[in-house]
Amino acid sequence: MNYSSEERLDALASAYVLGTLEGRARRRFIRLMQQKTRIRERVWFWEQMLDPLNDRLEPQPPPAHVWPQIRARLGMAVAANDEPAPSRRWVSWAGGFATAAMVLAGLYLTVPGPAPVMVEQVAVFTDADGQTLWLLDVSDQQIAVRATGLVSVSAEYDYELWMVPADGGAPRSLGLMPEDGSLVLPLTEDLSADMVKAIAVSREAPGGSVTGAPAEVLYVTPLLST
Amino acid sequence: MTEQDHQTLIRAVAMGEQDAFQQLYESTSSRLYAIAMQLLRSPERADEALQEAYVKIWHNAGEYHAGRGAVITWMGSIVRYRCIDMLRSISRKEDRQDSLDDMAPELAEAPVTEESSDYQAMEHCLAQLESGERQLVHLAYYRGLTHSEIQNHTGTPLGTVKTWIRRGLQALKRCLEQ
Repeated sequence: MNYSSEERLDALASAYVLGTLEGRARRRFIRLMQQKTRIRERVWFWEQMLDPLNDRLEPQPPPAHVWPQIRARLGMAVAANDEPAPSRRWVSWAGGFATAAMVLAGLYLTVPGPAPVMVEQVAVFTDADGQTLWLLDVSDQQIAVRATGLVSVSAEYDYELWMVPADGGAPRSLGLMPEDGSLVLPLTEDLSADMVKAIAVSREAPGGSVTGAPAEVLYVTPLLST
Repeated sequence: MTEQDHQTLIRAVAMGEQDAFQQLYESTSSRLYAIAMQLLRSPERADEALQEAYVKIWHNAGEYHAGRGAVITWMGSIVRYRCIDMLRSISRKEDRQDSLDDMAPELAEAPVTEESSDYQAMEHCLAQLESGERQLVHLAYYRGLTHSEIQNHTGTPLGTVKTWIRRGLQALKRCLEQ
């Protein structure tokens, strides 16, 4: 099947999103979608194009048993009652976080050049426009971080790197990120693939998180094995 | 809840924050359940699809990015694809004809979301389609029917079904991009 023609690609991507692409053609298209950014992007385009059709569906609250069953599937502790009742309102306080002047802890070292270590994992943080902000090379003892020059720099805050454990535990700090140039963070956590759900960058008061938890999460990305 | 709120929540979910996940569920599950019910026409199957979709959203939140569109669009796609997979599986195992009896999509008279400008554009562009094209696009999108199922239901020849849907989608695209 020829995927090079724009018209053909459009026809396949729209049929995939609509659901009319079936059987072997659908499986082949999914495989190519996983391999080729251009195909993925065309699918995303059609998802966004057709999504307004859902605006005509009358919202229907799902039955009360659905939420506890989702939590149970994820191995989360099930609440005493079935009604969702968050104890911590992310949206309400994420925007109002005040910056406080803190003492810079100086957790990282300047790197004179490329570290002579075996890189086992890599990660890339990008902004909303897809522009690369930081590149990370992870070895068994350290994380080499390079800022690209597109990182927004301010004396009012610092950026902090976190690992999100795969077991659902609280995020753990990996240190402060450079705002320009390159740095090496000594590795203090086990970042093997089965231990990590994702890594993230948060915006913190100067010196890093004062609570031990991230204040405002800005970017999240997976760790990729090399 | 605004798109910006959803963006904040999905980043927190990617960090493994269960409270944010719950808040996102509260804000989005009614829309996602409506998608599942519209396609599957069965509370039991819609429950199952919704649960699987949110499990996937929890695990894949870190893969969301702005290129996917609004958070709710990304989440809607996840539940929609899950429903389509379930429908194809049902079609293989059962005669789906019984569930096709009441074919007309159950749509609200007006868009039900707060920000309806996208839908107004969609409404305008749908109105530009030939009625046959519009009907077949509706059957595929809202009922998740395959080309063959549409052929069986409407009596329209298979080639015509394919052509009208393809032509309808291309016309929608041209209109919405204007």
